[in-house]
Amino acid sequence: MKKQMKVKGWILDLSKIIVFLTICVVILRCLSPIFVPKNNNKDSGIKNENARGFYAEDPHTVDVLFVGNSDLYSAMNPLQLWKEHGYTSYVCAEPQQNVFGAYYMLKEVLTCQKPQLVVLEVDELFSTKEASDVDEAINNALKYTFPLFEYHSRWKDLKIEDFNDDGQFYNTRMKSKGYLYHSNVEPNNEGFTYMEKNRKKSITYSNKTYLKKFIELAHENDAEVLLVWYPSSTTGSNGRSETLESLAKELNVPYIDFNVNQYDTGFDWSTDTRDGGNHLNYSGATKMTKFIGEYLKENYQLIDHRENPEYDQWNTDYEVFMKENKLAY
Amino acid sequence: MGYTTYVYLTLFLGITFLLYTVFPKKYKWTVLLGASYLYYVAASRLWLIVFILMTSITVYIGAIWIDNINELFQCVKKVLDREQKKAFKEKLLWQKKMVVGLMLLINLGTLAFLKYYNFFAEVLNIAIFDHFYASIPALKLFLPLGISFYTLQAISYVIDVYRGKYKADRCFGRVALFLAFFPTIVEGPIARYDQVAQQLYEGHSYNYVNLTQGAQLILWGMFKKLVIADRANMLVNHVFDDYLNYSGLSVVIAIVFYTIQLYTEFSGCMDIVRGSAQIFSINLPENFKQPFFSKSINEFWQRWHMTLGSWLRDYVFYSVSLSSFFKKFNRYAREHFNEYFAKLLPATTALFFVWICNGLWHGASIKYVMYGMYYYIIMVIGMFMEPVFNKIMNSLHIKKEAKCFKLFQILRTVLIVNIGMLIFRADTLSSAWHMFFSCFHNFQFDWSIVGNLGIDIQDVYAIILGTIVVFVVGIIKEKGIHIRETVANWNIVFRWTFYIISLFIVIIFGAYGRGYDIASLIYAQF
Repeated sequence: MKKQMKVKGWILDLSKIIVFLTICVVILRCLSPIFVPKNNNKDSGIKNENARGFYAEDPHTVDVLFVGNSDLYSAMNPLQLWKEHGYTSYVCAEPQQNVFGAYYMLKEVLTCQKPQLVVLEVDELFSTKEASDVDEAINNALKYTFPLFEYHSRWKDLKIEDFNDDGQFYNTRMKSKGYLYHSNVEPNNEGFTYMEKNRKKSITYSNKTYLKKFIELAHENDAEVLLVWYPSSTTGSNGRSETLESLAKELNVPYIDFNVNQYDTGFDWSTDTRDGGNHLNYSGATKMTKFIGEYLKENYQLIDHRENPEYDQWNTDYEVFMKENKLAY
Repeated sequence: MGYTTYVYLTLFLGITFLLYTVFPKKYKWTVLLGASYLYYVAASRLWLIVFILMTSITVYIGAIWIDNINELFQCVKKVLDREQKKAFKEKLLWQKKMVVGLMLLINLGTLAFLKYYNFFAEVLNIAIFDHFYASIPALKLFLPLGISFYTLQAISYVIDVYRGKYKADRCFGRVALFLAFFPTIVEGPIARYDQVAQQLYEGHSYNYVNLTQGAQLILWGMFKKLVIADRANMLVNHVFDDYLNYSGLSVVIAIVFYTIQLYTEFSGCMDIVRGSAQIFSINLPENFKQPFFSKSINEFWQRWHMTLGSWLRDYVFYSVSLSSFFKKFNRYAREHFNEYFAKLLPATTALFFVWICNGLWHGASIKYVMYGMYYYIIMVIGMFMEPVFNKIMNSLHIKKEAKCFKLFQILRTVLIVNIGMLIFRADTLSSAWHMFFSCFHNFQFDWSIVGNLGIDIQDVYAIILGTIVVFVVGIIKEKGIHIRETVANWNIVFRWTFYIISLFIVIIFGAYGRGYDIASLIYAQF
């Protein structure tokens, strides 16, 4: 009898907790649309607007999607890829992005685009602690499910329109397609000696799990996956390259590592970096993009859209980008 | 794995609570011990666990050793005559002192070496070795997580056994858990063995009230940490990092905001810690008792970081006061000074050691030593000048019981504490000095300057409103009202509405995520 009462008490307590949490979830669901930015530009408060210009591209027109951290938006120029091969691509790269962010970024992109190839910049796979990675995994999942966690600080900028149910107008196009132009040169005089450094080479369980989820998500949406590691003197090492090589084999995805092999790109640390080896500059990006373009041409059946009038906007964007940055074209 | 991270609040606490609930009562402590070591490894480095294990093993053995010496005396004393008993007792006392000395050497020695080696090496180099063109080399040393906290707990345990306050614990698990309990490992509170060890070990059945009230306490701590402290941190860093370019009201605001930051952060963390323990029906000691309602500095330190204050009182002040050397000094003072000085001189001398230890405990630098000395000098002045102050008050007909006078005392304490906080936060003593004087330079009541202090004006308002909430809660607590129990008696609609609004205030107004820096716990570095 006493035990029965006890079990009844537990069930009652559990029910109260479940009801309370359900109410919280409902409120989170109701509040999130208010706080979500109503446009995809900087003024609206959207996170990393440069990476979120894909919303404004015509639906299903981006054939190649690049996802990664700041190394990527410094090294990959979609407009050069367009000019040289006619492939449409977008760089969804964010500063200090991690693989959890990459996974949810891909989910976000797949709501309006249908890329044939997804390229992941793997620099973001190396982290320090499992506990921090699990925390980041929860953090990113929460932010994706309940955008209030991402945009809560917009309480300072809320306007009447935010409470109207008119939806979002993500129509701000990023002409550079996610690439960030930097022309300055600050050489890395150490060259590739960083590869000899003894850096932590293992990938945490959480990161590996989300890399697998990322690949699965791409495959479920009929996209192939390519792993790329652009030159990075602040993170690269031989040990890490070996780890990635074997991981790529294990997951059966192709992998290009510019830290180990520069594939006759002419890459030079004395001219191709803007900050002493952490990020590439325009010269470095041009060399990397050229190689990637050739690689895609050789290995994938991507369509050259240059002759398609529906894609004329890409030519305009290319011209504007070159003019704005005072580049010869 | 910080106490405000998702992984701690959801996965770690959640899984530990579930395991603790389903484990048989007899083995529940193993869940807490396992979780504590897991937390230690997750929040620190695997190999640094060696230090806490070493402390646990040494004090466990040391305390039993002292206990065995006591028992030996109890067994033998019946067969000894008075003289033999006295001689044997003295011999055993000497042995006990040697054991305590060994424990202090191992544990305090480790802490002192890791924390103070470089500081004292630098001081000695400047004072002595530089003159002989020699130097003690600086070392790259790691400070294991929580060493300043668990070492003090370990020492209190050994000394209490030595003093005969309680017997040594023969269960290693209980001692290890007392030292490593995961909520207390980063910032305390510095609990005593007789306060918590048995609670941690005995195993508590699931208790809905403790679960929910623990969660509410965590939420209140999150409010203080995320809404107020982490937001204030940005303004404080902005001004203190560039203090040469600020003066007048800007510096005053930065100092006051730092005081608010430190209080809300440290007390908020303590709420999270105590809430985490309450979920397991474990009651940890309080570290704060509305310190800003104190009418004197002495009272302030009885309400601020209370467990450190009481530790220093019991193990430094009393140890110094009761030492044979000090007894002689006491006698000398009584013989050579008048009654007034003879009473105060020994107390203030013993206090000197307390405040030196207090300063040094906070960090290995002259700045922290001066921080301790600042409070010491104020207290000594207060003690010696008390008759003078009383005379002045009598001649001015000021009543001590008058509300206005009490308010004056509170404001005076707040002012003194804020100056102390300036010393505490400034990078160096000279920058604290500079900032103190720059408060009086270009001072104007121009509120518009808050827009230039590194955060949005809305953030400043959020800090002020949050502080008002903390202040009001403080008044309610001062009146002896237990807020969580009061709310628990409300109708479910009002009660849940209150909880949900509180939760969403933290979610919406918390200074976390994009645009805000992750502020690491200030006291975790000590």
